[in-house]
Amino acid sequence: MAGTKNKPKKPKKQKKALIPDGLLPAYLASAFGDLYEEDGLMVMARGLGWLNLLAAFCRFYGDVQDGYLSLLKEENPNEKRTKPPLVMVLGMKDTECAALTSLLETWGTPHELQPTILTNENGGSDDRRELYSRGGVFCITSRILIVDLLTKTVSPDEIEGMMVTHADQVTNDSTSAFIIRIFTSLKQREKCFIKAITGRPEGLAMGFNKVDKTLKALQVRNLFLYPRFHEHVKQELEVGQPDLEELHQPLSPLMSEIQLALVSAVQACLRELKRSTPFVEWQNSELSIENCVTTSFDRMITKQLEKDWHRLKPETKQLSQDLRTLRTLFQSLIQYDCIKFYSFINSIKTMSASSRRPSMWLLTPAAEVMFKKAKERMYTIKKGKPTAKVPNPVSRLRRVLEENPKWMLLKNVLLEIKEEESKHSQGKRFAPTILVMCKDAQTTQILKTYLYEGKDQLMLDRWHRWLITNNDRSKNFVNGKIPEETRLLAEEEGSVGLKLKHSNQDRRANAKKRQLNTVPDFLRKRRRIALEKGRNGAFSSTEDREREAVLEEALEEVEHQYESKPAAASKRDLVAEGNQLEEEMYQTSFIEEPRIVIKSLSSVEADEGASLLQDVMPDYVILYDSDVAFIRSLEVYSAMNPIEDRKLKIYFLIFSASAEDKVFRKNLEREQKAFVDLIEHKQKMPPPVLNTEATQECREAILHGSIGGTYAGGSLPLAFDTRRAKGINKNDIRRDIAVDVREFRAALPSILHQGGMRLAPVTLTVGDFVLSSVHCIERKSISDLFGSLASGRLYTQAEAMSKYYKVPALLIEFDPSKSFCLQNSNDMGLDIKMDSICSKLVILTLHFPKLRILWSKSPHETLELFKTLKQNHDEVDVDKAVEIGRSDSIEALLTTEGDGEEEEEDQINEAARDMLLRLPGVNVNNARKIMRECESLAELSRMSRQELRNIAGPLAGQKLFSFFRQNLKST
Amino acid sequence: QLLQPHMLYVSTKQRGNGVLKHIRNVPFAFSKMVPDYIMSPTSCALFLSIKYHQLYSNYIHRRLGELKSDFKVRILLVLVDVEDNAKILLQLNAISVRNSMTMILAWTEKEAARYLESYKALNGKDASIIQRKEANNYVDQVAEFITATKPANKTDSANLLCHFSNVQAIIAASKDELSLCPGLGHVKVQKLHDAFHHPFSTHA
Repeated sequence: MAGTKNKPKKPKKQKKALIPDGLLPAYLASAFGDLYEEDGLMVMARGLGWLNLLAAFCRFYGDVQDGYLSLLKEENPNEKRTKPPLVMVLGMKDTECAALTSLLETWGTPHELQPTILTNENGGSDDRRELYSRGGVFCITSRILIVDLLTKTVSPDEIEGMMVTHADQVTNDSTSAFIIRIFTSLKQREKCFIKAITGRPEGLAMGFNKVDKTLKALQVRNLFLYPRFHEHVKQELEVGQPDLEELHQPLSPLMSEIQLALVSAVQACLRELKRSTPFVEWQNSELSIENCVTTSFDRMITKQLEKDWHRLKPETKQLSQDLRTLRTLFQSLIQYDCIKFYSFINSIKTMSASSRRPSMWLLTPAAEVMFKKAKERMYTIKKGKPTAKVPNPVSRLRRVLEENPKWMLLKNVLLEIKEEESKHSQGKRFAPTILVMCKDAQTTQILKTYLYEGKDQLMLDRWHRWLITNNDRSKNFVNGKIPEETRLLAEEEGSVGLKLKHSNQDRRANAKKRQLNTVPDFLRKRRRIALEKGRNGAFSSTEDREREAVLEEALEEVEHQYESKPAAASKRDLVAEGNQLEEEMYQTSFIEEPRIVIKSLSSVEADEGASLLQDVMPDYVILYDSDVAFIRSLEVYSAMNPIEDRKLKIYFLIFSASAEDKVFRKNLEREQKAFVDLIEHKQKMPPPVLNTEATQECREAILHGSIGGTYAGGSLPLAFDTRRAKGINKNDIRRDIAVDVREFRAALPSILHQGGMRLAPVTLTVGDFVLSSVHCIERKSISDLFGSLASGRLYTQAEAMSKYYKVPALLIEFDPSKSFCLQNSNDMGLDIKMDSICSKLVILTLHFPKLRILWSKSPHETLELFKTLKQNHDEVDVDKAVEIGRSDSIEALLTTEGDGEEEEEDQINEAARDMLLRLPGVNVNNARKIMRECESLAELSRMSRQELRNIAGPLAGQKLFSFFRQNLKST
Repeated sequence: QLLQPHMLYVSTKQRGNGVLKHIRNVPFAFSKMVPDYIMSPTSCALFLSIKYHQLYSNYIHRRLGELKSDFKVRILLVLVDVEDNAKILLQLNAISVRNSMTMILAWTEKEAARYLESYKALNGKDASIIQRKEANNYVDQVAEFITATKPANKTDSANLLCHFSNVQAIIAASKDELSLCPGLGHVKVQKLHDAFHHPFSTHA
């Protein structure tokens, strides 16, 4: 690797061969070159494709024939390695891993060169050791890697380099930084590489000197910036700028009234919130209507409250929760249809009524208005005027079923496109493809049905479903006393049901008719898109046909309405998808017919916009909902795939009063500003100082000799070390700590390690940290403390620690950025309250007199504390610490049944086990039996009353049975 | 010396301590004794203000030396009345561990008084308040169950319950069906679905 710097042009050429031409825009190729030549942090604007860049690297390092290894051989003929270098990719989310794999697949990467994805589910450390030894690229969670490094499952010597994604989130105390520190301190810096990528410039632009700190944590010197206005990017993207048309849609009058009501509900909540928190200095919490809609005000509020979170009254917390609910209401108002919105607010009301602390805003007049108007969007009841002749006139229910205004807009746009197309269609071979992007799976579903079946059908269907669920609650009214509205609704259910039945019959008849003279099957081109991994999404073909028929009908109707061409041969195919990648995607394409694909933005979250566009190859894109990243992807796509004689056309659908576009523009501005700041900063930034010398930990280890020898060479298999060292180094500084692997999610282990502690990551049943043969520590952050006191978890933990250790301790660790105190003394009141933190701590200490309470202001203080406590005590016996309490625990059951070997905690479905233990009637004792007799929660939930009684015990079985089967509405 | 069971005993040395004027919920009486406070025959407390400790750092060691080990619950009640307290807290943590004291921090005199009152009043109470209690309300039960999976919160639980109306239906739902429930993103759906359908242990 020594010679790479002398041959700067090489990698680019090499890469070109690796990646099929035209898939990677030129600016990404140059970004690849930059980052390959020198380690650094690459900051990319949203949607420019950082994932593609990463994929290029993965391919480059993974490929033995043409990649990195061949490059090395070229430079140095003596290079004898044949296996690919071991490269770790950190910080990837699950969805991104999947996107990376599929992206590489579309580049034609053979399976064996794909990066290996390591998550909690893939087996134990021995399996991983085996995997590592084969080399290659690994997408790995930092928690697994840190544990593997510390337990020497993989040594830093084997690792060629690291790629850190979402690098803006790396801080000095984060696990990734911990990994990099170990990696760089034990390896010569020149012999390894660290390349970091982020797609979120804002993450680096906030706070004081955030960039410098991040660079330092990442141990890299260079900062590469690729904003949208970067010269390379600009040049390239401005070639084929797509046509953009913004279409503004006003809210319907009822919707704006509801929106107004929501705003006043928010304001009421805020007033109440401020009143109840006199100790908080509120900043810019003045909310205008605009702010309410545009900003994530709830997050802003929570952020300000966070500092004093543990001092807040439950009522106040409820308020902040309410604000969050209200913001989702703003969203659902414009996103969904009237029925969904109404049932949503109704469910909020129901839940609130059944909870201990009802939401205050539901009692305000604004809420009343909201409910009234929301109902008016569905139906109104018209009361006849009582006259002399008819003293009790019959009221009539009028269906309104207001549709979402954007639906109509969407339909109009589609029709416009169609018309446009028909004008130009002469002499063209391919029908246009129209891509519709909307926010989430739910919207996809709705739009799909809307376009298939038309508004009336869709709304009637939903209306009918709503009536069914809504009406059955009132069935037990005595006949004569039914309120008018209920009666009308019941009648409506009948009539709508009848109507639906008719139209369904019609549809079926129609479908049958169609089937007779339908297009022969060979014309139907079904192709499965390469990246979609098929499982079981089987559309039966009759159903397909039926849908087509229905769709045709719907569109015919529209055409009449718009008096366009006679409804002769107009067929459109819809391919709609949820956000599940597993779902099979069929595209049935008829020649000459426009193809409509509906996709949700949430399914392309992981920077997959580009690959989606490559697959669909749209000629028109309709942004039902917008997103900066996706628009960038569109630009990139448009620049790279110029369509002859015509541009990609984009329609942008926006609700005008709801200020959707303000959010959009604000996001753009924020990103732009972040880049400008970063560029400025880069110019005057002093080169980051990297600690090339060994970390303190190593220095200390060397200073104190003895075990240092084994230690400096790598990290520790600590259990061996201590046993060997025991008795020999009585006066040595004690440094060993057994740490539960779950604790590696927090910053403390990293800080302990920096402070010269030697950590043995193990699965501890009792305690989080074991410092010596007597000291066992359960660490709680403040929120954990409150939570675990409330849930009873702390009691169980204290019980276990007291049983096995001489000095069990509860470590209360404060967050240095928040206030250092437990409760607000103004809120204490005059009497002793049983549910106060004070009473709970008192009860805890009274019941566990042996339990010590340690108070720490920050993880750094904790480090000092641990050092002090460890003085003059034996080092921890790690094996013993692991063994302690095992036989009493759930894990024991699972391990004793097998070969008796130590099992990795990862092999147990932790989430399911936690859920199981929280079921009513389940405790540690019967949980074992349940887990033995029953495969999964799904199976458990299906069991009969008798079966449940048999495996969980009579009482618990009964409880479980009713828990699973009970209906919310019957309570 | 016979103790009256309802009385919080205060050492005569504590006369003038600002904490005492906040003790209202339990009766207290002065008495000559080694600990500063005796809450019950088995529990006692020493009081220490950090400010005082800064001036007379030997004081607490002397007091601890005097204190015999015939109390089961030994509280070191520390009043945090100094801003720059990190170092002293470290010391006190170590001292309390070494001397088998349970350290309690209070930030105001009122809070310190409340702890003393509580130790007196709650003596002999069972631990049910901090033990796991089964929610008796169905909605809460479901919330507890659902929120065991990390990213899912109470709102999600409520939405799920409204959407599917019972737990069996929630568990039986496919990923697509789950994602149709408002507020549930890809990650939550995946996590919940895995928890429901993956076996408890891959090992067995």
